[in-house]
Amino acid sequence: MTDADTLRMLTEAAAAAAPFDAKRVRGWRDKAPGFDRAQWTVMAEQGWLSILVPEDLGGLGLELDAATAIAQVLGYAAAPEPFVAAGIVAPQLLASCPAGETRDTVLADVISGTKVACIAHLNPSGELAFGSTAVRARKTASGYSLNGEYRFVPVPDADAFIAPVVLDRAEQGGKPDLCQAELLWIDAGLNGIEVERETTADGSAHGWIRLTNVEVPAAAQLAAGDIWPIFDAASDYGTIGNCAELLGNMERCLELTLEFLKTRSQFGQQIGKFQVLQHRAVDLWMNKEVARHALTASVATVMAPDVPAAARAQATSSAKARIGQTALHLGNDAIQLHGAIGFTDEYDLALYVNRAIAIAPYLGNAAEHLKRYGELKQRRMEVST
Amino acid sequence: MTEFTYGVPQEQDWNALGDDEFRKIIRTEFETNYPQELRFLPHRPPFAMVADWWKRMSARGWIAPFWPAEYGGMGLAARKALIYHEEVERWGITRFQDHGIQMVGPVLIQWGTEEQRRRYLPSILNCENIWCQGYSEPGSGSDLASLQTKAVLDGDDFVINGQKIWTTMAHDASHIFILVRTDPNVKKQEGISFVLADMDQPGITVRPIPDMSGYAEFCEVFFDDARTPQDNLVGELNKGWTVAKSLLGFERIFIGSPKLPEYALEVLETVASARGVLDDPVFRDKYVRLQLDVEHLGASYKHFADIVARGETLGADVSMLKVWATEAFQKAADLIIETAGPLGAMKGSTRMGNVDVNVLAPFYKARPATIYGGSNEIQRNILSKAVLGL
Repeated sequence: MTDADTLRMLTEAAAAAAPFDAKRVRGWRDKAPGFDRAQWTVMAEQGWLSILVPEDLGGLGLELDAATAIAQVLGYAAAPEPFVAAGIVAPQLLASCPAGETRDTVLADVISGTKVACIAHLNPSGELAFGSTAVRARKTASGYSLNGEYRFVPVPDADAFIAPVVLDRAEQGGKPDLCQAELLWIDAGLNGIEVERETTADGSAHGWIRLTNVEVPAAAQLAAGDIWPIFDAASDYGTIGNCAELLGNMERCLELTLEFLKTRSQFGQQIGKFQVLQHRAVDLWMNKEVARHALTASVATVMAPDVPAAARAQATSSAKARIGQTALHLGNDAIQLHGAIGFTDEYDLALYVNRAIAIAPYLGNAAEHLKRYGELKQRRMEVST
Repeated sequence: MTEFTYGVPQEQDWNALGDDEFRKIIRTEFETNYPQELRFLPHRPPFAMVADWWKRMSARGWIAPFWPAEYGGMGLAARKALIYHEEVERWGITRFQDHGIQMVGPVLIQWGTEEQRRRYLPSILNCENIWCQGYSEPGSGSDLASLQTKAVLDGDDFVINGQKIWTTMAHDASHIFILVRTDPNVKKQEGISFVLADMDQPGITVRPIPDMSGYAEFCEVFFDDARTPQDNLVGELNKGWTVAKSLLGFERIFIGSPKLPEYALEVLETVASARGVLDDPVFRDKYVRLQLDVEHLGASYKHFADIVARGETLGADVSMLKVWATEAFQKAADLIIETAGPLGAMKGSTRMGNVDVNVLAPFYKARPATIYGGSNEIQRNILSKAVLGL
């Protein structure tokens, strides 16, 4: 656990370096790359992009609760920067790969902010793009040849994509072997890569990446063999980070709503004096608090030393199943409690609600994590009895 | 001044033990000696039914875990008190003398005179007196401070007239503590006093009220010129509201403990397993959501328990625990009935597969939980005002 003083300092520094700026948030909507590379550099200088990376790899070497503190502040500010995807998942995954020339170089680039990278792992239907269903990877004399599509890539204008691929062995008559996977660093500038931007609710975009005979050099290999333990771990860390960003988002939505209830007057009194609205506001607050406590508990489990993968996954899904759902409900009710102004684009609440809608599905939405939570819980109960 | 001893001496300084060691001692006692057939009773039992157990606790000096050791309690600090309570709930140990142990003792220790403490505390500790709480009235439920039962001084006695209602286990109690109006001409909270009375007198009549489960836990209590000596006034005259409010200590978190919803989930799993629907997707969706609600109640409970364990004061926000816990409990109880299918109609213990299950027990336990202890609507009023500033 990061000590309370460090966490407070991190939070204060983050709030100062990344305050809510409505003009800036609106300015990056519908405009590539969807966020501010200068601000990304500031975030790198603050050490946030390397917050989980061990000190001997040039990082801050802090724990997950430090990363969630930052994500929460960014959520509170509705910041468009893809901190979770490119500042938690990518560095965490790279830092977990075996040391090597490519790994060392790209990790340094990622944590210094000179290169922005994110994982690409879903096919156009939103399913995992491994094995026979999506991107086909073939070994060549100089490296790999890739064909297929990735969709829902959270940073479409990234400098590189980190993709797990399973070698296609159909030519040898074999089926894809999931235990023989490779993790590749795919430079976005390679020939044969075409990126379509699909705009999301908040005005940022996901990438739909089409690969046509893309020749990836052999040196792009970051890891090989059973890469899933490190991939799943980075993914769980990202899910927790995503929960923290949503929690920050909820905090601000609730504040805006309470401020409105205290200032808006109808029928000759503050609308916050009406009991029906008070009780709805209490329910929003209570659900947000439960979400906060759920996240605290899950973070503690996930970052415990030597936590088994199944326990980590269950704790992660527990938090996301709660927070993914609560964040969207809270946004909906915040709009309702505001009335018509809450549905306008010019009032800031819309920035938060749209942001929550845009990021809630990342690495699995509430329903998907509820399912995983239930399955893991059942499996672990069977094992323990 | 003569030395006066309350209860029995403690075996040791419990607070000096490690948490795990303390938990183990408590758990061993409960698991070894608490009668199996009295675990998770669907109702509060009459004292006679559980007398042996409580006398055992009394003899061991464990009957009043939260009282200071000098008054015959275990003297548990907050962290140990929570552990004790968790173990009580975990083993499904029945509640007893909530009102003597949980209310009268702490009130007398804080507000009583030495004479009052000597008169009443020993007989609470040795199970001789059983107390009930006379607060609610027919016209004063959520608006408790509007209470009308009057106490007027007549010589050395208060003469009490009026009616209390929803008085839990009054028909099993020997004594009652009541909030009475002693000044009708001031702001409603400022004319209330806290007095103790012996129930064994002609002026007090008790009528049990069977609840919808067919069992009578609460009662009406009628006062017709009932008398109690003036020195049974606790605290100052007309300061009873302050005395009553002071009882809202760290015990407020107990009502939000996850144990009852966890118990309901266990019953639910038994029922679902017997009905063969554990893998049915419609059932699973509801069940997993409920598991999540209960797990996150636990996470929230831990947040407040940590505050208590650090020796800090709980804020008004602790009310959320009561709301969340009781509503989760009800959802689980309702899902048990739904999952039981035709067996959901059965009163009492019923055969299901190869087990006996009291399908409706969680329902009848959960249903009033959103009403008592300050209804959930009152809790939401408190949260709205004190936490959200609305």
